[in-house]
Amino acid sequence: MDNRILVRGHRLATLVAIMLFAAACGGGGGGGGDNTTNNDTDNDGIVNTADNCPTTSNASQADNDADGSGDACDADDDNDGAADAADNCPFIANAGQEDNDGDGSGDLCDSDDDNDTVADSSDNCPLVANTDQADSDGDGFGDACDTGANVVVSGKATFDKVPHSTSTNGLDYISTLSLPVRLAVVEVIDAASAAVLATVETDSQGDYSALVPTNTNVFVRVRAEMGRAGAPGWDLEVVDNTQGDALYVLESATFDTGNANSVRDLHAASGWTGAGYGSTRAAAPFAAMDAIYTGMESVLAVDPAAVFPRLTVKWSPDNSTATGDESLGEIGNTFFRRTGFDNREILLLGKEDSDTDEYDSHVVIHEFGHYFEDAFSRADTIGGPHSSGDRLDPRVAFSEGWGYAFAGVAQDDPVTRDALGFGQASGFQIDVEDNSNLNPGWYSEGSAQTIIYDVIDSASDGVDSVSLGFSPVFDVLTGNIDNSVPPATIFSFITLLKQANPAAGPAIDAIVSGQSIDSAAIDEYGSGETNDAGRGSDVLPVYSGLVVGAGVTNVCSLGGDSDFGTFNKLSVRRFLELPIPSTGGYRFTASGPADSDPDVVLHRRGFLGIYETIGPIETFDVTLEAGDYVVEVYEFSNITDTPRGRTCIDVSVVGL
Amino acid sequence: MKKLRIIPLSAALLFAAVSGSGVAEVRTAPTDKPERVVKSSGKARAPVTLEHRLGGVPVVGMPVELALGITAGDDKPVLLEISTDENLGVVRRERRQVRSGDSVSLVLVPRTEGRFYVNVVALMDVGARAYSIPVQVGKGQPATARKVSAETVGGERLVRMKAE
Repeated sequence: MDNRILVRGHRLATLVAIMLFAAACGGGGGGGGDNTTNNDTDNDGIVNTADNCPTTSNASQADNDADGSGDACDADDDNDGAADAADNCPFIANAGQEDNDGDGSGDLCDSDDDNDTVADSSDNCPLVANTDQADSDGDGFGDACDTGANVVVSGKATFDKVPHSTSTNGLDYISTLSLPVRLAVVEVIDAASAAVLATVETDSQGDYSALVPTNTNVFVRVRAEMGRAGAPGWDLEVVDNTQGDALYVLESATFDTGNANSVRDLHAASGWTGAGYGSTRAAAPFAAMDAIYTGMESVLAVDPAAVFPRLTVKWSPDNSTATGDESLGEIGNTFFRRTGFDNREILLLGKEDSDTDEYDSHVVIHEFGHYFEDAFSRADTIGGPHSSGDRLDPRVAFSEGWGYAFAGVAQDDPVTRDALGFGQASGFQIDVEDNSNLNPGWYSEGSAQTIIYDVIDSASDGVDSVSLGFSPVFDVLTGNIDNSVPPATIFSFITLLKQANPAAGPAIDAIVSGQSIDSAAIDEYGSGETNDAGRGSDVLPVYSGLVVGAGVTNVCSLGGDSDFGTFNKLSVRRFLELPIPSTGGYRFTASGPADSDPDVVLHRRGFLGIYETIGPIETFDVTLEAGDYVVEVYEFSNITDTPRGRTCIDVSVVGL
Repeated sequence: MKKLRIIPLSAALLFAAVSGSGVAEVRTAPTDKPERVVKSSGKARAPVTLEHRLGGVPVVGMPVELALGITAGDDKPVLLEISTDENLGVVRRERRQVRSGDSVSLVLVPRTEGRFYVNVVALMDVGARAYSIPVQVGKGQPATARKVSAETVGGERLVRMKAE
């Protein structure tokens, strides 16, 4: 087993071996283990430290069960406990090995479970052979399996979708639409015993159909949940963070199934009663879920077998911009986060008369875009507040720009509308087709969203004459950028996109140059960039050089009102490009003025480690593989609300 | 306050034990993505900051001032939409036009103990930003806008909403 985690071959992260010497080492030793020096044992083009089968050639890195062990060397490709050699569904987990027709192909991967030559999807008796499909009573159940004791309950699940006014950007309740609840889990529940009698899912039109016993008191429950195993696959739910993460469900009244098929439609209402939310906001969880699925559809369009790791959406009518106890709804803002290894969540605002986001589908999909970065690509953003026109850390600018561009692409609508205020009647918009961004450049989220959207969209406007579609961008984000050494920024995105699509290079350059980025001159590190945000110093080069044993490199961390701001603003954190010539131990030192507190972060294809002791000298020893690294340096106070301001730091690295 | 040193969890799994000769004996363990919290910036907000200060500890029946200070990125007008929970004594739903540097004073008269909110939405021509300011009165429980309480059904916590 190597040290990577894979989801359908999309690497979530590659953490190269970084081995800390004990502080007491005193600099002694440097060789470390021999496992870091063997580059590519199986000659498949993937270095051992990044290879999910280091000794078996598998250039595709396919890993069906995402257990970090590639299919080519994994004895159990679906992690169901049945070894592949004896597994009747080697790529779909089926620990029970059920095989109705005994044909050696497990039911979960057998498209004809009764071997009657009629595919299960259209077989009126999928588990009983009946090639003639006879159904004398026309109830949809073949005579061979029709006991007469079942009926079909079917119907449509819908929810209120409140659109935005195009004039105010607020919500327009008068124009509320009824949209289908797509791909939701539906249960038919025995009202007496609470037993689940049938579990199905709605289709893309919100329709469901379930076979249930006759003459039984039941109700239908539509869960704010989508789940599908295999590839494609997903696992999504919408819960109430103010009620112990309880799942939202929509339930019908109880009814008797009788002796004949029946129809039960379910509608989730917005709860709007004219002057406010006078009744339950039942539509909200389903509106949020639908927006997420819209985002998923864009991914599935270019990767039909995509597997979406679990995502939990947390919404409550109490979710407000207050920051404090999330169980009280004090979530601060709508945002995406991952905690631990795979706990991915989107928290959504819901407080009436303040800020609600459940119908702001662009906002929801924007956050899903961050989920995509984290689960499928790279999430290098450091977060933090941002506004139009801000000069941002390039990682934040790219990530935020990506989110808005993706929201526009997913809905084929470039205008994000965000409703808030009294009655959610006010709002503002962000148009990613508007190229006239305030303070354009490589540090601008507006520039990033304009560039990303323009290279994808089919419309030609201004300097935009390219229409690559989403697929090439998806490929760069999930492949090239994911394997790129420096953090994901507009520099790495554009450089790698042009490399993968050379014919479009000049047209891409035109779009990028239109945002005051020197597209023709830059590389992944922004080398050659000349836009210094009008400051003249402390901005360029984007990455300063740092050479082992070659003395110090001086960089200055900015912060405060006289600069671009604190925390996530431009030049608060400075970057250095560091080639490590050979695997071994190295001592890093970052030294600032007596009253300063420099800190250091190491990156290589993602975050490696942070070093932040208190004091003017930050020094530490590590063992690193040979290769290129990125060193991030900043004055600690400049990422707080009490910045020291411009602080120059000497950075050096020596071999041990 | 930052920690004295944060070592990535993955790196902690990859420590070197130092032998007597000073040569590191490297031990490796399966590593995952560093367990650093990934958090997006959240949605964009207008360049406006609202600072607030309560004039005292909120007590039932006693007036208390809530002062709001506005700092905007420019000198253009900022429209504030202010609403307060009725339990804070005044059902306010009012709009005020202010500019950067202005302050607004509200007088709250809490009617009951609880945790309530003053909601302020700042609308600018370049965006908007909502603030919810919590006001804790005594040790009361927080007010809630929800109309359905979760219940445990078959071992599962559900918010059961009625379909139309």
